[in-house]
Amino acid sequence: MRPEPSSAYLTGLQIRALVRVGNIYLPGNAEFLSFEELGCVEHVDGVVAHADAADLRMLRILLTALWFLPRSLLGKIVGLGLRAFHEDFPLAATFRELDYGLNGLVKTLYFSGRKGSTCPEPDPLELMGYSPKVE
Amino acid sequence: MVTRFHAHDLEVRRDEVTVRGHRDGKGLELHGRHVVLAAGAMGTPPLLFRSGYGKRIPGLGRHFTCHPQFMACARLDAVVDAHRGFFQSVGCSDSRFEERGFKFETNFMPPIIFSMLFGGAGGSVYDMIGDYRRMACLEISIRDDDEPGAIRPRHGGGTVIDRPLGASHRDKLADATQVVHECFVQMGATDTWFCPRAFSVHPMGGCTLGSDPADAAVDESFHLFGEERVYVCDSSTFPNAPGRNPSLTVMALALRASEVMLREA
Repeated sequence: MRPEPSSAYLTGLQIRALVRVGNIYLPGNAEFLSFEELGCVEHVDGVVAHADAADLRMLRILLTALWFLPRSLLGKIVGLGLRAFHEDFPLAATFRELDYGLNGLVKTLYFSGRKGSTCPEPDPLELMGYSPKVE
Repeated sequence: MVTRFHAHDLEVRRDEVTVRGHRDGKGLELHGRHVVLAAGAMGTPPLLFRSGYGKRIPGLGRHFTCHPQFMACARLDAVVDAHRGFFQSVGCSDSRFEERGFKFETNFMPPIIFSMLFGGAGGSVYDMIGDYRRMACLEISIRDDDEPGAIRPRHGGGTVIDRPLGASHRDKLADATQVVHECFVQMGATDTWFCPRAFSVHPMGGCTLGSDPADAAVDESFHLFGEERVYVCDSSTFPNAPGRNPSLTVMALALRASEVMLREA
């Protein structure tokens, strides 16, 4: 069993909620690992440490609330966040903000080039052939 | 030199200015005879609001502009490797785009941005990133001459930027999108995508140069209105959006501000 990552900013419950959300955005396929399998959530402090204090407070509240939702409802919320950029509906602006917060955090971790300490698989950047360097 | 200092607010006293903030999690105060604020349009207005200038200078936070930007990408048969080579090394001197109120930049998208803007959620993410090396991309930058927006404190902490897309923005975007689509087709694209998410890396205004505190925040000598010890010099002083990248204008303003400061020293 993968050890639960510790964070100076998020509780264990909030980290688990983030992993659940991350798996909806990035469930993995035959080639790429899922958000959870990659273990990149271990590096969450490196991202949230730079967040505005008020944004971090809202993120904590949001993740705590999301933890109590069933996966199907989480999936609907993520879907509404993405839909809100294409069409207008009540609370669309709120869902857009929600998507920026969650989608941004999840994708930043997943495509950061960092993975969990026990993950032996190649990270997504290697699989994509993304290897920028100064020549 | 104090690095890693996060400025929170400032207080002007008779003989000095105190800037309060924190460094490595510990509170710290810095003192000086003058202070030059150069935290940009996202940093300077919020710092001044936190310092209590919102009521004293009604123009603070007004005239926020940003050149709304949009990404487009196209899948090609050949490997493009948009992240290699020299970025923005190809220019277009066709003035017709500028006359129509938009310009293009040959920025590439690193995987984080690419997957966030175009990937969505679930299996579609992998359809896109699996072809990352065959994706060409182009950024559309819209001239921001619609009614300006505002930047203000958010109730409970943080900052709100109120910059809705207006009809003028949407018309220019539709025009630019058509041009980009034609470019991509000419390149032999097999698929094209236009991301509806607006973003901006050109925040400007909110602490604008002017003569009226009801409408601006900084006088022509770069002083915050009513404060001889506080200068502001960054993109927050732009009275309007120039329609092109703001860095050179910021440098020119810095040169002018330094001349003023030396004269007053």
